[in-house]
Amino acid sequence: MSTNAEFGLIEASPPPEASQLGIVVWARKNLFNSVLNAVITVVMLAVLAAVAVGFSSFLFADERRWDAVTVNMRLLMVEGYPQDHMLRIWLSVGIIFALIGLTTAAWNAGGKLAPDSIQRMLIGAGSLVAALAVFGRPDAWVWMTVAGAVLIGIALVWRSSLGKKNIDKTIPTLGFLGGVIALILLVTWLLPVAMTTKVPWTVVFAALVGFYLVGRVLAGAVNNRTFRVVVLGLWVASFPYIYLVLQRRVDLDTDVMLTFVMPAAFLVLGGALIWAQLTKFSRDTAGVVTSVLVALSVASLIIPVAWDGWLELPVLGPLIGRVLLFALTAFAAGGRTFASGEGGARNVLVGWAGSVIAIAYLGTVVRGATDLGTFNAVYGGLNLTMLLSVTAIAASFPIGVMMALARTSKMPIFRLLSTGYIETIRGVPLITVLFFATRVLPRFMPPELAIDPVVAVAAGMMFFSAAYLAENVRGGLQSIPKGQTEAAQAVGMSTFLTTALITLPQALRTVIPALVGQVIALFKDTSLVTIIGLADFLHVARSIIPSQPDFLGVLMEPILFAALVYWLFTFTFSRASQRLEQKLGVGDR
Amino acid sequence: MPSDTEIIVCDDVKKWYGDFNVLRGITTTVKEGEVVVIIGPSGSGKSTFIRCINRLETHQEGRIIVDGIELTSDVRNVEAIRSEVGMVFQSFNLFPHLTVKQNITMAQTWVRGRRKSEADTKAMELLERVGIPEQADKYPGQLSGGQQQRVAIARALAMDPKVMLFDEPTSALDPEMIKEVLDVMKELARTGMTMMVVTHEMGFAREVADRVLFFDFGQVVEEGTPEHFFTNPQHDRTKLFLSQIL
Repeated sequence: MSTNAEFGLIEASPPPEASQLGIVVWARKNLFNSVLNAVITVVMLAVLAAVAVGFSSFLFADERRWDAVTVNMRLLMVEGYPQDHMLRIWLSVGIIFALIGLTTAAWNAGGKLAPDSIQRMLIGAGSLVAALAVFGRPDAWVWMTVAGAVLIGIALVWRSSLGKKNIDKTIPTLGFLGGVIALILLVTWLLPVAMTTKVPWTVVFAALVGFYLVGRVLAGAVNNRTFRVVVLGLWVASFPYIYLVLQRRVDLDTDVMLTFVMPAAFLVLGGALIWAQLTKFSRDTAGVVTSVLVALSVASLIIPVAWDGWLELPVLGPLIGRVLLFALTAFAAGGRTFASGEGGARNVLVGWAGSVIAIAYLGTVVRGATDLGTFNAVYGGLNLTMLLSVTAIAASFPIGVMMALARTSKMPIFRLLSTGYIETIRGVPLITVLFFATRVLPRFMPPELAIDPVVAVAAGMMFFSAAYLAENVRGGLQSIPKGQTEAAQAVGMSTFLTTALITLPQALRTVIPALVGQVIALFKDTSLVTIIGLADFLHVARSIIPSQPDFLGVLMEPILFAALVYWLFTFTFSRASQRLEQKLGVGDR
Repeated sequence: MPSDTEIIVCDDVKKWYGDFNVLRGITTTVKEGEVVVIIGPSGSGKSTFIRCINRLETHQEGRIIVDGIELTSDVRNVEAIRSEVGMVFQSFNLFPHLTVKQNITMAQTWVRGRRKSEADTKAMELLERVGIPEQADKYPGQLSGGQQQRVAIARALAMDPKVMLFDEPTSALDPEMIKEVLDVMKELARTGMTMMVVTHEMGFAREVADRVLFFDFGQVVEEGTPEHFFTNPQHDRTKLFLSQIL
């Protein structure tokens, strides 16, 4: 490397300093720099003020019945969930918050806050409270003004007490947030808030903090990557556990026994068969074995009912057996294509073990016996909304990715099936899919396999979302240059490895914005289930509360509250995805 | 110096794109340790030919045998050969979502089944060898073209290939960066690596090649030692080509 000095060239100089504009100078320069702009500014400010006044006088009008929301909070959150079992709901919330704590620790999330930005936040909050006081009810406006003034006062005093030396010191955002939440909880203990609200939330917050601390310790002790994988695994397992086991109840019976015994047998014997298929059998033998398995799978579809009758087995055992048989057939048929290179057979066997365990796990939890009645009776409110959206989003992801891969595959049969699926689903409104899943499909099924409407709706949404997701992912796949595939193949990667390690990660990274848009849309689309008679969050706010004798016709308040909750969720999600994009350097590399 | 073992054997290799006859019967052998430079005008089929050797393109007639294995449509043969034959592309084709080090360790761990520590050590050795160990944790997009191409060479070398194929490795580089890549290739040739290089760098051909193949119209028009080729070409087409570029 040569330097400028050696050649007597001009040295680099720092850029000119940007001048600090005062607010008056800034306003004059940007808002009042011509007569026309001054007029526009004044008019716009007037419009904004009118909107603010109108909205807040609406919010704080005497006839507003906000108690419709607070009194019905339980209804909004869980609808008709049995009151004796509320502990289960709180346990679910606790599990999720504990996982959030662990995740935050594992990814070492959270930045630093400067005193200046904290001061700005405090002053902002204080001014907002004080400004809203103008529209408050007579008994409240004094308190609001005082509270706002106190907030601003704290901000000013604290800031000036810091002194010159400490002004650049920062505090961790997480610590600040934790402190604020702890303060709010403390206040609930001083005020006459119901015990059933403040006790669980305090415990949940303690779980969040506790698991965060445990997570920090663990993150220091074990391999970070392993820790993160475990945390992700816990997330994946937690939702089925919450909705299918914790909020219902599994008793150990024949069904459940079979879901252990049968998968275990498949795991060992099927694993041996796949291994032989990959390493021992000749091409011809492997072909014969595959054909026999395909024939068995097809046969198991045609003669299921009679078989169940003869052996007097519960429905579930044969059902899981059938699913396992399909999986075995797929592995025996496709294994050879994917298991190339050294260690390929091992990878396929690991995949097989994973699939069997997943099928057994899902089989156990889906059909677990319960003493709380059907899903439909148990789930409602925000709980149902969460159940539907999480299930549909999480389950549609692998299906959508597989559909996208199939549609870009070289094999015509995959391409045809996937294209047919995607175009059919995309050509139909979501409501039609939901009606089909809950009203039409049961007519084709044997009566003992009757599907609960909640499960049917979740499945319908999953298949619907998968079609759109597949198209998004396909767009990402097509944006990956051909050179990437060639480079991967040139170092000996199989088609499977090339997809899993090179093209798919890049494609998914590219389509994050589209995927987030879809997830948000799906989250809000769950409110459509009200049409087929499920009581989701919006349904409670829109129909149930306004028809209560105490709150007859009170519609605005619960609806506004519902809008706020939907917005909070989607906004959090979109911020999280922005962080993810930054972290993955989308658009930068 | 080349030994007597033949590592690549091509026998009457033919290929068509639709009706267009790209390769019209290429017959040649490459010995272990030999450096073969392929030159020729664009569209002459030289890149297509080199890409046939690790089956990024498929030939339709004739035989290609690499390290004793014939290239057929059997997937397992193809992947076996690809892990023995390294390839360096004109446009680098590094994996942009992985760091430089991960680019080099990925195939080692997933295809060769090496342990991560082993693969990391190997990657750092190779980065040392191509002269950019300090870039290990950067992403390809943060590197200059010359550095990227050197990473691509390290990525191919990490698989311990028996043969290295170079498909115009310096054509996408700024003039100042060509030399750093050619230096790495020269060093590689000195250590006895078998190399096939498609290039327009006549200086490199003259200095490093054991043999030069001149391609045009999908065939080998003339071949010989660099000395013969550059000082005493026989074929009229060769003479015309050389007169235009030298």
